[in-house]
Amino acid sequence: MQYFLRRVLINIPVLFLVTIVIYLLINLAPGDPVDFFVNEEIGITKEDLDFVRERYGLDDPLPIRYVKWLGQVVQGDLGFRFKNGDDVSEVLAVRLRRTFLLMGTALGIGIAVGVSLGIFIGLRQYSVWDFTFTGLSFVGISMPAFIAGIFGLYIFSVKLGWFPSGGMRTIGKPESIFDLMYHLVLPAGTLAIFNLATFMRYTRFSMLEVRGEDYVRTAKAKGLKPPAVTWRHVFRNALLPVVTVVGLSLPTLVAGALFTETIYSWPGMGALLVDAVAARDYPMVMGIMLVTALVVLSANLITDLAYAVADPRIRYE
Amino acid sequence: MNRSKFLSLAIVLMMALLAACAAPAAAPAAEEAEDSADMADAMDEEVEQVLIGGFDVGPGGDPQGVLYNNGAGNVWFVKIFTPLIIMDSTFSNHTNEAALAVSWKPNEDATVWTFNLREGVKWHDGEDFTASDLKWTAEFVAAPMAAVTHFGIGQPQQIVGWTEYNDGEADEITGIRVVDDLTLEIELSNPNPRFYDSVRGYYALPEHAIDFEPTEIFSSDWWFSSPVGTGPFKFHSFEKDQFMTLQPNELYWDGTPELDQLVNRYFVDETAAVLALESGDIDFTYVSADVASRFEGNPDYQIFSGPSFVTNMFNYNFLNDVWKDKRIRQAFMYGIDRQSIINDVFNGTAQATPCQDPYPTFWPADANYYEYNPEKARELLDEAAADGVTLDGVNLDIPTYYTSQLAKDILTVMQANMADIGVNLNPTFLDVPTWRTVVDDNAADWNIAYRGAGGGPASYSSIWYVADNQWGIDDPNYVDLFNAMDASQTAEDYRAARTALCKYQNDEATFAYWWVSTRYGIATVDIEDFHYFPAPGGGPYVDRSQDWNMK
Repeated sequence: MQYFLRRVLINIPVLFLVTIVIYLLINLAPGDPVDFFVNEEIGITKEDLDFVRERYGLDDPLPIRYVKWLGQVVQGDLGFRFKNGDDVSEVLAVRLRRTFLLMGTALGIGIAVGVSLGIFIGLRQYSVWDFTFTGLSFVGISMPAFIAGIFGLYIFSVKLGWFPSGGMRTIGKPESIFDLMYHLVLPAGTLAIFNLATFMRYTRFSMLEVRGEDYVRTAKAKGLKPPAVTWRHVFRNALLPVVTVVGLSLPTLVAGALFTETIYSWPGMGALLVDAVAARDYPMVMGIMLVTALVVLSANLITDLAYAVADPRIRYE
Repeated sequence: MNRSKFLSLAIVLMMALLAACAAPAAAPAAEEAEDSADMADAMDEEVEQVLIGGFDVGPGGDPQGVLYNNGAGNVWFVKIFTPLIIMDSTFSNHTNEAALAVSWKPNEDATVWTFNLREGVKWHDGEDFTASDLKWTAEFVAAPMAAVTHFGIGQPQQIVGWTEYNDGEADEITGIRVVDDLTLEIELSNPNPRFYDSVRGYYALPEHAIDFEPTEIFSSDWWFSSPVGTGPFKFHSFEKDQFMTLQPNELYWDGTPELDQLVNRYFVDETAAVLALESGDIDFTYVSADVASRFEGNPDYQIFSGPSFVTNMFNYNFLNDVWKDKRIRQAFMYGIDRQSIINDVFNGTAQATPCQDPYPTFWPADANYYEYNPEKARELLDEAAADGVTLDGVNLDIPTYYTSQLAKDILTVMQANMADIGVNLNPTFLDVPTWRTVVDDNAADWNIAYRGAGGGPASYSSIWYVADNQWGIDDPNYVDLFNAMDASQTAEDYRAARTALCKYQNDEATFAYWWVSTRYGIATVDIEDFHYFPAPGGGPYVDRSQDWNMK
């Protein structure tokens, strides 16, 4: 518990520094929200631009704006979007929910199937299964998300018509979990390919490494049955590197996946961040970054704690 | 044992969290009952005629935007709201048609315009529409703290009292007067015989139904929960980031629409919209020129096209002396094989333009189209170099906010053409805020920008050539030409003056004016009597959506 509290306290100044760096970076990007509003093909006078900048408080110096923003944040107010006036907290709540569903499903499939297949081929090194799945995993890891997304959409929606082309629900039908799941299959499946391939390869590698250890040979020599050797001695020890990789994937649960969300019109965090950055929507960008930073720090902490669960030899003092 | 419990608990919590995220969103308590009733109604009613489109895709769209934001999105807004006057269906003759106003005329010196409004127009909630609504709308969006950059009236400062009201120095816009319920008068500070062209975006909003302050114009939920307009369709439902559905307005003055539902599905990306069209999930979307060719000859689709009314050009920065030399500017015109780009990159879907004006009606018959002539380009550059004017050492980055593959292909060809005559261009593709910083706020550091310029057939933005223009053009002839245009009292005089301006730009090659491209919309053949026209900003134009129906 003491370790946990110490880690939480260390994370507070880290989070504060992260907000300063991100605020600085987004404000250093050329242009501001008013530049985004302007329709270049119509044109606007400098006086009108200055008028709007003043109205939005964009004429204040950067440190003043940061302090104002921080002052709001510590009171639990993330502000409003420049782009359309939406409440940043509300937008985050809605988008996080959608992204968590998409990424969580993809991550869940990736862990369940990837780790299972990793164990399966890890126990069958150089077999046909091993070559087949290892080869496929290369394809899964190296295929860019936008290619996988377009392929998936083209084959399963345009050509076969099995799944919808995007969105989160069927327009004109009442909202239901089944309809949502139906819309989730393609985007989550596309994302799961990468997760699955990554976890499979890590698990395979880890299994092979542990299988060669002395204590595994000893376990076999003392007459333990193969399943007991595999699960009690090999798998438990092979799990640690996999826990690290899974831990590193946790922030994607809130960060979203830009290409997949765009291609499948899944309105999640990835698309929101790009939209916010393009519009120089400072409050929205800061809101997203704050949440992402919180999750990254929490994920690191959870991963560390998970080590202790996975491996009884690890103790935090 | 404890660890097993911990793991099991973690897995159960994770599954519960996912399930919670998958559950339909809980409606706010106050709206829940109403939503349930609506849902029941929706289930009961027979919905057969449903048209789903990507109406916000493309340059005319303003994704999930609200009125008066940045001049786009009219394709969708005009389904709910109605402007004072409206473009004809293809704008090929540049004429306006009646909308809320049935007729309009200026006084003798064109300083006071009288708009006679349509009788019997009702708001979606049954209230009568009157001239007071228009005056109230103007004052609502022009309120001092509203921070609206693009008012529905072009150059609103020309209206008497607008600036004072906008500055908070007056209680009303004195130049907008309600004569009676069906007559609106607008007084201008200067004569403008073509003022009608400035009020196509002047939509009416309902004073009685708007419950938010002008300062909340961008943040109010009203637009997405209970908008009330006078258009052919009225609000039905909205799913943030996903779609908005409309239902027929039985009170519409030109007949109840035939569709049972009209849906605008939101897409972040054109590719996603095109795939949705091909999969049959939607019935219509905007597509870019390079995608449109895929649908040609396909009996399942109908193609709609029209000019963009935007001239794409190289905007030179005259603050750097090299661009003041006409020979340098003309060398670019001769050095780039424009026709080849139109034929091969645009697949013939763009039209060469002689000047900044995108309307062919103002193009002079004897315009010089600068046929591709690299030899001539080299000669001009050599002549200029002999006089000490050279592009050596000049930064020839070409910042542009056009980032499509089509734009990249165009600029690649231009780069290759100019390299052939020894000029090394370097296109740079930027987002709009970055582009504006480079080109608008950092005046001396850039030389050429690839951009578009629009405008109306009866209005021409003078920001390009007036004294102190940001491009550094110092040529009194332009001021004279603009003054001649502004002074024109008849259509013939105006046409002649605007053509003279075009001719001057053409001769001077002030900027490198390239083309007006064609824009496209693709609909399935399942929609009957459908009409789409890729108007700048989405129009508004006459689309007769009340006649649309599904086979």
